[in-house]
Amino acid sequence: MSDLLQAHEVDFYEASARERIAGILDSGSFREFIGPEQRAMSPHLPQFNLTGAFDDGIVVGSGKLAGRAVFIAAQEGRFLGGAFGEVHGAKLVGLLRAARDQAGKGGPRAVLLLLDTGGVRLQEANAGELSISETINAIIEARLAGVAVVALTADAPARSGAAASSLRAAAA
Amino acid sequence: MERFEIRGTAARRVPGDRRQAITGVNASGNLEVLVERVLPGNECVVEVATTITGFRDLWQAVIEDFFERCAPGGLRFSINDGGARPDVVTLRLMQGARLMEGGE
Repeated sequence: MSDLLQAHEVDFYEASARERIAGILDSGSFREFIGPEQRAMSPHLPQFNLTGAFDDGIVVGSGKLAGRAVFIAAQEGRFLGGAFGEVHGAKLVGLLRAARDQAGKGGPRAVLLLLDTGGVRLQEANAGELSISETINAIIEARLAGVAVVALTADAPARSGAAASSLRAAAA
Repeated sequence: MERFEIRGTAARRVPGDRRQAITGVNASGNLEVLVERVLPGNECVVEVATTITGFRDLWQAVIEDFFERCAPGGLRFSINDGGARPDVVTLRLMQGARLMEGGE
C-alpha cells in the first residue's frame, strides 16, 4: 500500500471528531453514548446569543480497537475551539467514571482521549474550569483502577493553554 | 440568535431504514445538520437556529429549493448555524439527505 492518502481517507488533523473515531476504531464497532439526537446541549451559550452543538462538541462512547473493547472520547476542535463547557465536561467525566467503575468487571481496559481543545469556554468559565478539574481527577481514578488512559492530541500546545496541558500530563 | 422552522411536503419518501445522521460542524461559515427519520409520509421540516439574524427569507428560498431538488420526505433536519453561506447550507442539507439513503 502506498503511504499517500486515498481519496476517501481523511488526514487525522483535518478530520472531524466523528471521522477521527471512525478512522481509529474497528469498522462499525462504535456505539455512541448521549448521541446528538438526545440534544444534550449547553444551557449557557443561548444566553450569549450563540447557537450550540447537538453533542456539545464532544463525542463519547465505546468500541473496539484491534478486537479489544475500549472507551473513546473525541473533542470537536472546530466548535468553539474544542473548549470545555459544562455538558461537554460532564460527558467526558461520565465516560472516565464508567471506565473506573467497570474496571476488573469485564469492562474496557483502556480509554482513548482524542483531545483537540482550546481550554475553557469563556461563556461558561466556572463550569468549564470545574469540569477540567473533575476530568483530571477522573483520569487519575481510572488509572488507579487499572485502566489505561491514552491521549492523542490534535491541538497546538500554544493554543490549548494550561488546562489542556494538565489533561495531557494526567493521561500521559 | 434567531430560531424558526420551515415545513414542506416532498414528492417522495426517502428510502432506507437509517434512523439518523449528522454532518458538518457549527463553526464560522459552517453549520451542523442533524437528520432524523421521524415524520409521517412525505412531510419534511428544517428547524434552524442561526447566530445571524434577518435572513429568514433567504433561508426559506434555499430550503424550499432543497425540498424540491432532493424530495426528503419523512425527514426532520435540525440546524445549528455559524453563519454559513447559502451554498454551504444547500451542500450540508444534501449531504444529510444522502446519508439517510445509506450513501457516503
